[in-house]
Amino acid sequence: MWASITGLAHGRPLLGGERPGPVGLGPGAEAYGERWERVVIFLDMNAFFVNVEARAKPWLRGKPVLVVGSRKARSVVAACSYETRAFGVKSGMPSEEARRLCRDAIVVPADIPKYTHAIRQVVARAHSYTPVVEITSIDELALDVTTTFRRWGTPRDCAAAFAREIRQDLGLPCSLGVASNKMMAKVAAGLEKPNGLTVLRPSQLEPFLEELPTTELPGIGDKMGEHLRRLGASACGQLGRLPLSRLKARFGIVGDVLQDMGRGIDRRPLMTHYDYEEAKSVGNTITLNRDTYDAAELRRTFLWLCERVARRLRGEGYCGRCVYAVARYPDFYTVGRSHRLSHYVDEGMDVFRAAWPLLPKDLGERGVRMLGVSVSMLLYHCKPGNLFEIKRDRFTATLDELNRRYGRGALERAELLPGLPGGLYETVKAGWHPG
Amino acid sequence: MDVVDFGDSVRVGAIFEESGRLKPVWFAYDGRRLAVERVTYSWRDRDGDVKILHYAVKVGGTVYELALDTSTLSWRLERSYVE
Repeated sequence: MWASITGLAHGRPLLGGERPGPVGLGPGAEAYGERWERVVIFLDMNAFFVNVEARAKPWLRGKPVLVVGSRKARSVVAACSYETRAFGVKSGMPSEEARRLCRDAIVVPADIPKYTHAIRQVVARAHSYTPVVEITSIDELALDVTTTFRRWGTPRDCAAAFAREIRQDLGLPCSLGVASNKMMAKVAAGLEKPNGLTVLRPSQLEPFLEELPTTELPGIGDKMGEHLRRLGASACGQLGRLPLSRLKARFGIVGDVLQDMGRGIDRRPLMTHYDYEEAKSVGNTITLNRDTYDAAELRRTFLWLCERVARRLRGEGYCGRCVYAVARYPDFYTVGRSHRLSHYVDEGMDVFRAAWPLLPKDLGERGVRMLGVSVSMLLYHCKPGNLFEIKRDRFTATLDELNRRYGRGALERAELLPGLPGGLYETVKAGWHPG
Repeated sequence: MDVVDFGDSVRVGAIFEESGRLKPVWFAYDGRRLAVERVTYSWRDRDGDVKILHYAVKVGGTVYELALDTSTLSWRLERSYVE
Protein backbone atom coordinates (compact mmCIF):
# COMPACT_ATOMS: atom_id res chain seq x y z
CA MET A 1 0.00 0.00 0.00
CA TRP A 2 2.76 2.41 0.96
CA ALA A 3 4.75 1.62 -2.12
CA SER A 4 1.77 2.02 -4.41
CA ILE A 5 0.72 5.36 -2.93
CA THR A 6 4.06 6.99 -2.57
CA GLY A 7 6.21 5.12 -5.06
CA LEU A 8 8.84 5.09 -2.41
CA ALA A 9 10.25 1.69 -2.64
CA HIS A 10 11.78 2.67 -5.96
CA GLY A 11 9.31 0.64 -7.97
CA ARG A 12 9.52 -2.52 -5.91
CA PRO A 13 7.46 -3.74 -3.00
CA LEU A 14 8.81 -3.17 0.48
CA LEU A 15 10.67 -6.10 1.88
CA GLY A 16 9.75 -7.59 5.22
CA GLY A 17 10.63 -5.16 7.99
CA GLU A 18 11.77 -2.52 5.51
CA ARG A 19 10.57 1.02 6.11
CA PRO A 20 9.45 3.28 3.29
CA GLY A 21 12.21 5.70 2.36
CA PRO A 22 11.90 9.49 2.16
CA VAL A 23 8.88 10.32 0.10
CA GLY A 24 7.49 12.85 -2.29
CA LEU A 25 10.06 12.96 -5.07
CA GLY A 26 7.91 11.14 -7.58
CA PRO A 27 6.98 12.15 -11.10
CA GLY A 28 5.01 15.23 -10.00
CA ALA A 29 1.53 16.30 -11.05
CA GLU A 30 -0.45 18.52 -13.39
CA ALA A 31 -2.66 21.21 -11.85
CA TYR A 32 -4.02 24.52 -13.15
CA GLY A 33 -2.49 23.65 -16.51
CA GLU A 34 1.00 23.64 -15.00
CA ARG A 35 3.54 21.03 -14.05
CA TRP A 36 4.07 20.75 -10.29
CA GLU A 37 7.16 18.95 -9.07
CA ARG A 38 5.12 18.09 -5.99
CA VAL A 39 1.96 19.41 -4.39
CA VAL A 40 2.62 20.26 -0.75
CA ILE A 41 0.10 21.69 1.70
CA PHE A 42 1.57 23.42 4.74
CA LEU A 43 -0.71 23.82 7.74
CA ASP A 44 -0.04 26.45 10.39
CA MET A 45 -2.32 26.27 13.43
CA ASN A 46 -2.79 29.96 14.22
CA ALA A 47 -1.93 30.85 17.84
CA PHE A 48 -2.49 27.17 18.52
CA PHE A 49 -2.19 26.97 22.32
CA VAL A 50 -4.29 30.11 22.73
CA ASN A 51 -7.06 28.76 20.52
CA VAL A 52 -7.15 25.38 22.25
CA GLU A 53 -7.47 27.25 25.56
CA ALA A 54 -10.24 29.38 24.04
CA ARG A 55 -12.11 26.21 23.09
CA ALA A 56 -12.09 25.20 26.76
CA LYS A 57 -12.72 28.73 28.08
CA PRO A 58 -14.94 30.47 25.53
CA TRP A 59 -14.59 33.90 27.13
CA LEU A 60 -10.95 34.03 26.00
CA ARG A 61 -12.01 34.39 22.37
CA GLY A 62 -11.01 37.76 20.93
CA LYS A 63 -9.16 38.78 24.12
CA PRO A 64 -5.45 39.41 24.62
CA VAL A 65 -4.20 36.06 25.95
CA LEU A 66 -0.75 34.83 26.94
CA VAL A 67 -0.11 31.13 27.40
CA VAL A 68 2.90 30.86 29.70
CA GLY A 69 4.98 27.98 30.96
CA SER A 70 3.75 28.28 34.53
CA ARG A 71 1.54 30.55 36.57
CA LYS A 72 3.94 30.93 39.46
CA ALA A 73 7.31 30.37 37.94
CA ARG A 74 9.33 32.78 35.90
CA SER A 75 8.78 31.52 32.42
CA VAL A 76 8.48 32.44 28.78
CA VAL A 77 5.49 33.05 26.56
CA ALA A 78 4.62 29.75 24.90
CA ALA A 79 1.94 31.35 22.72
CA CYS A 80 0.13 34.65 22.45
CA SER A 81 -3.09 35.75 20.81
CA TYR A 82 -3.09 38.13 17.85
CA GLU A 83 -4.56 40.79 20.16
CA THR A 84 -1.35 40.82 22.22
CA ARG A 85 0.93 40.90 19.19
CA ALA A 86 -0.23 44.43 18.46
CA PHE A 87 1.61 45.42 21.68
CA GLY A 88 4.85 43.81 20.51
CA VAL A 89 4.40 40.55 22.40
CA LYS A 90 6.06 37.53 20.79
CA SER A 91 6.33 33.84 21.60
CA GLY A 92 9.51 33.03 23.48
CA MET A 93 9.61 36.39 25.25
CA PRO A 94 9.98 36.33 29.08
CA SER A 95 6.45 36.40 30.49
CA GLU A 96 7.26 39.37 32.78
CA GLU A 97 8.21 41.42 29.76
CA ALA A 98 5.07 40.36 27.87
CA ARG A 99 2.89 41.34 30.84
CA ARG A 100 4.62 44.71 30.95
CA LEU A 101 3.94 45.28 27.26
CA CYS A 102 0.32 44.18 27.43
CA ARG A 103 -1.04 44.87 30.90
CA ASP A 104 -4.58 43.69 30.11
CA ALA A 105 -3.44 40.30 28.88
CA ILE A 106 -5.13 37.27 30.41
CA VAL A 107 -2.45 34.83 31.51
CA VAL A 108 -3.17 31.13 31.11
CA PRO A 109 -0.77 28.40 32.26
CA ALA A 110 0.21 26.01 29.47
CA ASP A 111 -1.36 22.56 29.53
CA ILE A 112 0.72 20.51 27.08
CA PRO A 113 -1.41 17.29 27.18
CA LYS A 114 -4.37 19.40 26.04
CA TYR A 115 -2.41 20.64 23.02
CA THR A 116 -0.85 17.29 22.09
CA HIS A 117 -4.34 15.76 22.15
CA ALA A 118 -5.55 18.51 19.78
CA ILE A 119 -2.64 18.14 17.36
CA ARG A 120 -3.16 14.36 17.30
CA GLN A 121 -6.71 15.00 16.13
CA VAL A 122 -5.37 17.29 13.39
CA VAL A 123 -2.79 14.69 12.31
CA ALA A 124 -5.47 11.98 12.20
CA ARG A 125 -7.49 14.14 9.81
CA ALA A 126 -4.40 14.92 7.73
CA HIS A 127 -3.87 11.20 7.20
CA SER A 128 -7.22 10.97 5.43
CA TYR A 129 -5.75 13.27 2.75
CA THR A 130 -2.39 11.57 2.29
CA PRO A 131 -0.18 9.08 4.09
CA VAL A 132 2.74 11.45 3.62
CA VAL A 133 2.41 13.80 6.58
CA GLU A 134 5.37 15.50 8.26
CA ILE A 135 4.83 16.86 11.74
CA THR A 136 7.23 19.78 11.62
CA SER A 137 6.35 21.08 15.09
CA ILE A 138 3.54 20.92 17.64
CA ASP A 139 1.49 23.40 15.58
CA GLU A 140 2.66 22.83 12.01
CA LEU A 141 2.20 20.01 9.52
CA ALA A 142 3.20 19.46 5.91
CA LEU A 143 1.22 17.13 3.63
CA ASP A 144 2.46 15.81 0.30
CA VAL A 145 -0.76 15.43 -1.70
CA THR A 146 0.90 15.05 -5.12
CA THR A 147 -0.80 11.74 -5.78
CA THR A 148 -4.02 12.28 -3.82
CA PHE A 149 -5.28 15.88 -4.25
CA ARG A 150 -7.42 15.00 -7.32
CA ARG A 151 -9.93 13.24 -5.09
CA TRP A 152 -10.99 16.72 -3.97
CA GLY A 153 -10.43 18.52 -7.30
CA THR A 154 -7.61 21.04 -7.45
CA PRO A 155 -4.84 21.51 -4.85
CA ARG A 156 -6.84 24.47 -3.51
CA ASP A 157 -9.99 22.31 -3.16
CA CYS A 158 -7.98 19.70 -1.29
CA ALA A 159 -6.46 22.26 1.09
CA ALA A 160 -9.82 23.99 1.58
CA ALA A 161 -11.51 20.70 2.49
CA PHE A 162 -8.77 19.98 5.03
CA ALA A 163 -9.01 23.47 6.54
CA ARG A 164 -12.81 23.22 6.74
CA GLU A 165 -12.55 19.96 8.64
CA ILE A 166 -10.17 21.46 11.18
CA ARG A 167 -12.17 24.63 11.65
CA GLN A 168 -15.57 22.94 11.82
CA ASP A 169 -14.82 19.66 13.59
CA LEU A 170 -12.13 20.88 15.94
CA GLY A 171 -13.10 24.56 16.15
CA LEU A 172 -9.52 25.67 15.59
CA PRO A 173 -8.37 28.36 13.15
CA CYS A 174 -5.55 27.57 10.76
CA SER A 175 -3.73 29.01 7.77
CA LEU A 176 -2.66 26.92 4.82
CA GLY A 177 -0.20 27.36 2.02
CA VAL A 178 0.01 25.25 -1.11
CA ALA A 179 3.13 25.16 -3.28
CA SER A 180 5.40 22.77 -5.06
CA ASN A 181 7.68 22.24 -2.07
CA LYS A 182 7.59 22.47 1.71
CA MET A 183 9.59 25.67 2.07
CA MET A 184 7.42 27.67 -0.32
CA ALA A 185 4.23 26.12 1.08
CA LYS A 186 5.30 27.33 4.54
CA VAL A 187 6.00 30.81 3.22
CA ALA A 188 2.57 30.79 1.51
CA ALA A 189 0.87 29.69 4.75
CA GLY A 190 2.35 32.71 6.51
CA LEU A 191 1.01 35.22 3.99
CA GLU A 192 -2.52 35.37 5.34
CA LYS A 193 -3.16 34.84 9.03
CA PRO A 194 -5.43 33.82 10.58
CA ASN A 195 -7.59 31.47 8.52
CA GLY A 196 -5.92 32.11 5.18
CA LEU A 197 -5.37 29.80 2.24
CA THR A 198 -2.75 30.80 -0.32
CA VAL A 199 -1.84 28.81 -3.40
CA LEU A 200 1.50 29.57 -4.97
CA ARG A 201 1.64 28.07 -8.45
CA PRO A 202 5.03 27.22 -9.96
CA SER A 203 4.59 29.97 -12.60
CA GLN A 204 3.96 32.55 -9.83
CA LEU A 205 7.10 31.67 -7.95
CA GLU A 206 9.62 33.81 -9.80
CA PRO A 207 7.76 37.15 -9.62
CA PHE A 208 6.79 36.39 -6.02
CA LEU A 209 10.39 35.75 -4.96
CA GLU A 210 11.61 38.86 -6.74
CA GLU A 211 10.12 41.06 -4.00
CA LEU A 212 10.10 38.68 -1.03
CA PRO A 213 12.59 39.70 1.71
CA THR A 214 15.07 36.90 2.41
CA THR A 215 14.13 37.00 6.10
CA GLU A 216 10.67 35.70 5.17
CA LEU A 217 12.25 32.38 4.24
CA PRO A 218 12.25 29.78 7.02
CA GLY A 219 15.72 29.48 8.50
CA ILE A 220 16.92 32.96 7.56
CA GLY A 221 16.81 35.14 10.65
CA ASP A 222 17.72 38.77 11.15
CA LYS A 223 21.47 38.09 11.45
CA MET A 224 21.72 36.00 8.28
CA GLY A 225 19.43 38.49 6.55
CA GLU A 226 21.91 41.24 7.45
CA HIS A 227 24.85 39.20 6.07
CA LEU A 228 22.91 38.65 2.84
CA ARG A 229 21.94 42.32 2.63
CA ARG A 230 25.62 43.23 2.78
CA LEU A 231 26.17 40.93 -0.19
CA GLY A 232 23.44 42.83 -2.04
CA ALA A 233 20.65 40.32 -1.51
CA SER A 234 17.78 41.82 0.49
CA ALA A 235 15.18 40.03 -1.61
CA CYS A 236 15.03 36.37 -2.58
CA GLY A 237 15.28 37.21 -6.27
CA GLN A 238 18.64 38.89 -5.67
CA LEU A 239 19.80 35.98 -3.54
CA GLY A 240 18.95 33.50 -6.27
CA ARG A 241 21.02 35.48 -8.76
CA LEU A 242 24.14 35.83 -6.58
CA PRO A 243 27.01 33.80 -8.05
CA LEU A 244 27.39 30.49 -6.25
CA SER A 245 31.11 31.08 -5.87
CA ARG A 246 30.40 34.26 -3.87
CA LEU A 247 27.91 32.55 -1.62
CA LYS A 248 30.25 29.62 -1.06
CA ALA A 249 33.20 31.89 -0.34
CA ARG A 250 31.13 33.65 2.34
CA PHE A 251 29.03 30.80 3.79
CA GLY A 252 30.85 27.59 2.80
CA ILE A 253 28.72 24.57 1.93
CA VAL A 254 25.58 26.46 3.01
CA GLY A 255 26.06 28.58 -0.11
CA ASP A 256 24.37 25.96 -2.28
CA VAL A 257 21.37 25.80 0.02
CA LEU A 258 21.07 29.59 0.15
CA GLN A 259 21.07 29.91 -3.62
CA ASP A 260 18.37 27.24 -3.88
CA MET A 261 16.34 29.03 -1.21
CA GLY A 262 16.56 32.29 -3.15
CA ARG A 263 15.20 30.46 -6.17
CA GLY A 264 12.39 28.82 -4.19
CA ILE A 265 13.91 25.36 -4.58
CA ASP A 266 13.54 22.87 -1.75
CA ARG A 267 14.35 19.29 -2.67
CA ARG A 268 13.92 17.91 0.83
CA PRO A 269 11.36 15.14 0.93
CA LEU A 270 8.75 15.23 3.67
CA MET A 271 9.73 13.15 6.66
CA THR A 272 6.93 10.90 7.81
CA HIS A 273 7.21 9.25 11.19
CA TYR A 274 8.92 6.35 9.43
CA ASP A 275 11.76 8.55 8.30
CA TYR A 276 12.77 10.42 11.42
CA GLU A 277 16.47 10.49 11.88
CA GLU A 278 17.90 9.04 15.00
CA ALA A 279 18.50 11.54 17.76
CA LYS A 280 21.89 13.22 17.84
CA SER A 281 21.64 14.37 21.43
CA VAL A 282 19.25 14.29 24.35
CA GLY A 283 19.12 17.23 26.71
CA ASN A 284 17.04 19.33 29.05
CA THR A 285 17.27 22.85 30.39
CA ILE A 286 15.35 24.53 33.16
CA THR A 287 14.77 28.22 33.80
CA LEU A 288 14.61 28.52 37.58
CA ASN A 289 11.64 30.19 39.24
CA ARG A 290 14.00 32.83 40.62
CA ASP A 291 17.70 33.57 40.46
CA THR A 292 19.19 30.97 42.80
CA TYR A 293 22.25 31.45 45.00
CA ASP A 294 21.87 28.29 47.08
CA ALA A 295 24.63 25.91 45.92
CA ALA A 296 22.89 22.85 47.40
CA GLU A 297 19.66 23.68 45.62
CA LEU A 298 21.53 24.20 42.35
CA ARG A 299 23.26 20.85 42.75
CA ARG A 300 19.95 19.12 43.44
CA THR A 301 18.27 20.80 40.47
CA PHE A 302 21.15 19.78 38.23
CA LEU A 303 20.94 16.18 39.44
CA TRP A 304 17.21 16.23 38.74
CA LEU A 305 17.95 17.42 35.19
CA CYS A 306 20.56 14.66 34.75
CA GLU A 307 18.06 12.06 35.95
CA ARG A 308 15.53 13.36 33.49
CA VAL A 309 17.96 13.28 30.58
CA ALA A 310 19.16 9.79 31.52
CA ARG A 311 15.60 8.50 31.76
CA ARG A 312 14.88 9.85 28.29
CA LEU A 313 18.08 8.25 26.99
CA ARG A 314 17.13 4.86 28.41
CA GLY A 315 13.52 5.25 27.31
CA GLU A 316 14.64 5.67 23.72
CA GLY A 317 17.29 2.98 23.95
CA TYR A 318 20.34 5.25 23.80
CA CYS A 319 23.48 5.79 25.75
CA GLY A 320 26.05 8.48 25.05
CA ARG A 321 29.59 9.49 25.89
CA CYS A 322 29.74 13.25 25.44
CA VAL A 323 28.16 15.37 28.18
CA TYR A 324 27.51 19.09 28.00
CA ALA A 325 26.60 21.31 30.94
CA VAL A 326 25.38 24.88 30.67
CA ALA A 327 24.46 27.60 33.17
CA ARG A 328 23.15 31.10 32.68
CA TYR A 329 23.79 33.81 35.23
CA PRO A 330 21.18 36.44 36.18
CA ASP A 331 22.83 38.89 33.74
CA PHE A 332 22.17 36.34 30.95
CA TYR A 333 25.89 35.59 30.60
CA THR A 334 26.00 31.91 29.67
CA VAL A 335 28.76 29.38 30.22
CA GLY A 336 28.79 25.89 28.75
CA ARG A 337 31.40 23.15 28.54
CA SER A 338 31.42 19.65 27.18
CA HIS A 339 33.48 16.60 28.01
CA ARG A 340 34.04 13.40 26.11
CA LEU A 341 34.03 10.33 28.33
CA SER A 342 35.95 7.13 27.73
CA HIS A 343 32.78 5.10 28.26
CA TYR A 344 29.07 5.32 27.50
CA VAL A 345 26.54 6.37 30.11
CA ASP A 346 22.76 6.18 30.47
CA GLU A 347 22.32 6.53 34.22
CA GLY A 348 21.45 9.82 35.93
CA MET A 349 24.19 9.74 38.55
CA ASP A 350 26.81 8.93 35.89
CA VAL A 351 25.67 11.87 33.77
CA PHE A 352 25.73 14.06 36.87
CA ARG A 353 29.22 12.98 37.91
CA ALA A 354 30.52 13.80 34.43
CA ALA A 355 28.60 17.04 33.90
CA TRP A 356 28.55 18.76 37.30
CA PRO A 357 32.33 19.39 37.41
CA LEU A 358 32.05 21.14 34.03
CA LEU A 359 30.08 23.99 35.58
CA PRO A 360 31.90 26.94 37.17
CA LYS A 361 32.53 26.70 40.89
CA ASP A 362 31.07 30.14 41.59
CA LEU A 363 27.47 29.32 40.67
CA GLY A 364 26.23 29.87 44.22
CA GLU A 365 28.00 33.22 44.51
CA ARG A 366 26.98 34.68 41.18
CA GLY A 367 23.50 33.17 41.13
CA VAL A 368 21.93 31.13 38.37
CA ARG A 369 18.96 31.74 36.15
CA MET A 370 19.08 28.65 33.93
CA LEU A 371 20.71 25.22 34.02
CA GLY A 372 20.99 22.64 31.28
CA VAL A 373 22.58 19.32 30.47
CA SER A 374 22.75 17.20 27.35
CA VAL A 375 24.33 13.95 26.24
CA SER A 376 25.55 13.39 22.68
CA MET A 377 27.66 10.90 20.68
CA LEU A 378 24.82 8.49 21.12
CA LEU A 379 24.71 4.78 20.47
CA TYR A 380 21.40 3.09 19.86
CA HIS A 381 20.49 -0.24 21.39
CA CYS A 382 23.53 -0.18 23.55
CA LYS A 383 23.86 -1.00 27.19
CA PRO A 384 26.90 0.51 28.82
CA GLY A 385 28.82 -2.55 29.88
CA ASN A 386 30.06 -2.70 33.42
CA LEU A 387 30.16 -6.08 35.04
CA PHE A 388 30.27 -4.51 38.47
CA GLU A 389 27.09 -2.53 38.08
CA ILE A 390 24.64 -5.24 37.11
CA LYS A 391 22.75 -4.73 40.35
CA ARG A 392 22.51 -1.01 39.73
CA ASP A 393 21.32 -1.59 36.17
CA ARG A 394 18.59 -3.93 37.40
CA PHE A 395 17.62 -1.38 40.01
CA THR A 396 17.43 1.39 37.40
CA ALA A 397 15.37 -0.83 35.08
CA THR A 398 12.96 -1.50 37.93
CA LEU A 399 12.67 2.22 38.69
CA ASP A 400 12.00 2.93 35.01
CA GLU A 401 9.32 0.26 34.87
CA LEU A 402 7.61 1.59 38.01
CA ASN A 403 7.73 5.15 36.70
CA ARG A 404 6.38 4.00 33.35
CA ARG A 405 3.52 2.17 35.03
CA TYR A 406 2.63 4.72 37.69
CA GLY A 407 3.64 7.93 35.98
CA ARG A 408 6.83 9.96 35.85
CA GLY A 409 8.01 11.00 39.25
CA ALA A 410 6.29 8.10 41.04
CA LEU A 411 9.75 7.16 42.33
CA GLU A 412 12.60 9.62 42.58
CA ARG A 413 15.94 9.69 44.29
CA ALA A 414 15.39 10.72 47.89
CA GLU A 415 18.05 13.37 47.35
CA LEU A 416 15.70 15.07 44.96
CA LEU A 417 12.85 15.34 47.43
CA PRO A 418 12.66 18.75 49.05
CA GLY A 419 13.43 18.85 52.74
CA LEU A 420 15.56 15.71 52.81
CA PRO A 421 19.30 15.71 53.37
CA GLY A 422 21.39 15.24 50.24
CA GLY A 423 23.02 11.90 49.58
CA LEU A 424 20.28 9.77 51.13
CA TYR A 425 19.88 7.80 47.92
CA GLU A 426 23.48 6.65 48.03
CA THR A 427 23.00 5.41 51.59
CA VAL A 428 19.89 3.47 50.67
CA LYS A 429 21.49 2.02 47.55
CA ALA A 430 24.46 0.53 49.38
CA GLY A 431 22.32 -1.85 51.41
CA TRP A 432 19.65 -2.46 48.84
CA HIS A 433 19.34 -5.77 46.98
CA PRO A 434 16.93 -5.91 44.08
CA GLY A 435 14.91 -9.09 43.67
CA MET B 1 -8.96 35.31 35.11
CA ASP B 2 -8.80 33.56 38.46
CA VAL B 3 -7.46 30.03 38.55
CA VAL B 4 -8.05 27.79 41.57
CA ASP B 5 -6.44 24.36 41.94
CA PHE B 6 -8.44 21.66 43.72
CA GLY B 7 -7.33 18.04 43.12
CA ASP B 8 -10.31 16.78 45.16
CA SER B 9 -12.34 13.63 44.55
CA VAL B 10 -15.88 14.46 43.44
CA ARG B 11 -19.11 12.67 42.62
CA VAL B 12 -20.02 13.08 38.96
CA GLY B 13 -23.13 12.16 37.02
CA ALA B 14 -22.26 11.29 33.42
CA ILE B 15 -24.06 9.78 30.46
CA PHE B 16 -22.83 7.69 27.59
CA GLU B 17 -23.97 9.34 24.38
CA GLU B 18 -25.09 7.38 21.32
CA SER B 19 -21.63 7.84 19.84
CA GLY B 20 -20.20 6.07 22.88
CA ARG B 21 -18.71 9.27 24.24
CA LEU B 22 -18.89 9.98 27.91
CA LYS B 23 -20.39 13.31 28.89
CA PRO B 24 -20.45 14.65 32.45
CA VAL B 25 -23.82 16.30 33.19
CA TRP B 26 -23.43 17.27 36.86
CA PHE B 27 -20.95 17.10 39.67
CA ALA B 28 -21.22 17.54 43.39
CA TYR B 29 -18.78 19.81 45.12
CA ASP B 30 -18.80 21.55 48.46
CA GLY B 31 -22.32 20.31 49.29
CA ARG B 32 -23.76 21.59 46.02
CA ARG B 33 -24.79 19.81 42.89
CA LEU B 34 -23.63 21.80 39.88
CA ALA B 35 -25.35 21.20 36.54
CA VAL B 36 -23.00 21.22 33.57
CA GLU B 37 -24.21 23.66 30.93
CA ARG B 38 -21.72 22.63 28.29
CA VAL B 39 -18.65 20.50 27.85
CA THR B 40 -16.39 23.04 26.22
CA TYR B 41 -13.43 20.76 25.55
CA SER B 42 -12.20 17.27 26.31
CA TRP B 43 -8.82 15.62 25.97
CA ARG B 44 -6.91 12.54 26.97
CA ASP B 45 -3.71 12.10 28.89
CA ARG B 46 -1.75 9.32 30.56
CA ASP B 47 -0.41 8.94 34.04
CA GLY B 48 1.88 5.95 33.67
CA ASP B 49 -0.26 3.10 32.35
CA VAL B 50 -3.49 4.82 33.30
CA LYS B 51 -5.54 6.70 30.76
CA ILE B 52 -7.05 9.91 32.14
CA LEU B 53 -9.99 11.61 30.43
CA HIS B 54 -10.22 15.36 30.99
CA TYR B 55 -13.32 17.51 30.55
CA ALA B 56 -13.59 21.29 30.64
CA VAL B 57 -17.17 22.02 31.67
CA LYS B 58 -18.96 25.34 31.92
CA VAL B 59 -21.12 26.18 34.92
CA GLY B 60 -22.25 29.80 34.93
CA GLY B 61 -19.25 32.02 34.34
CA THR B 62 -16.82 29.35 35.51
CA VAL B 63 -15.05 26.58 33.65
CA TYR B 64 -14.20 23.55 35.79
CA GLU B 65 -11.79 20.84 34.75
CA LEU B 66 -12.85 17.31 35.68
CA ALA B 67 -10.63 14.26 35.25
CA LEU B 68 -11.69 10.63 35.11
CA ASP B 69 -9.14 7.97 36.10
CA THR B 70 -10.19 5.12 33.80
CA SER B 71 -8.50 2.47 35.94
CA THR B 72 -10.51 3.28 39.09
CA LEU B 73 -13.42 5.14 37.44
CA SER B 74 -12.91 7.86 40.01
CA TRP B 75 -13.42 11.55 39.23
CA ARG B 76 -11.34 14.45 40.38
CA LEU B 77 -12.04 18.15 40.23
CA GLU B 78 -8.73 19.55 39.08
CA ARG B 79 -9.19 23.31 38.86
CA SER B 80 -11.52 26.12 38.02
CA TYR B 81 -11.17 29.19 35.86
CA VAL B 82 -13.36 32.19 36.57
CA GLU B 83 -13.81 34.75 33.84
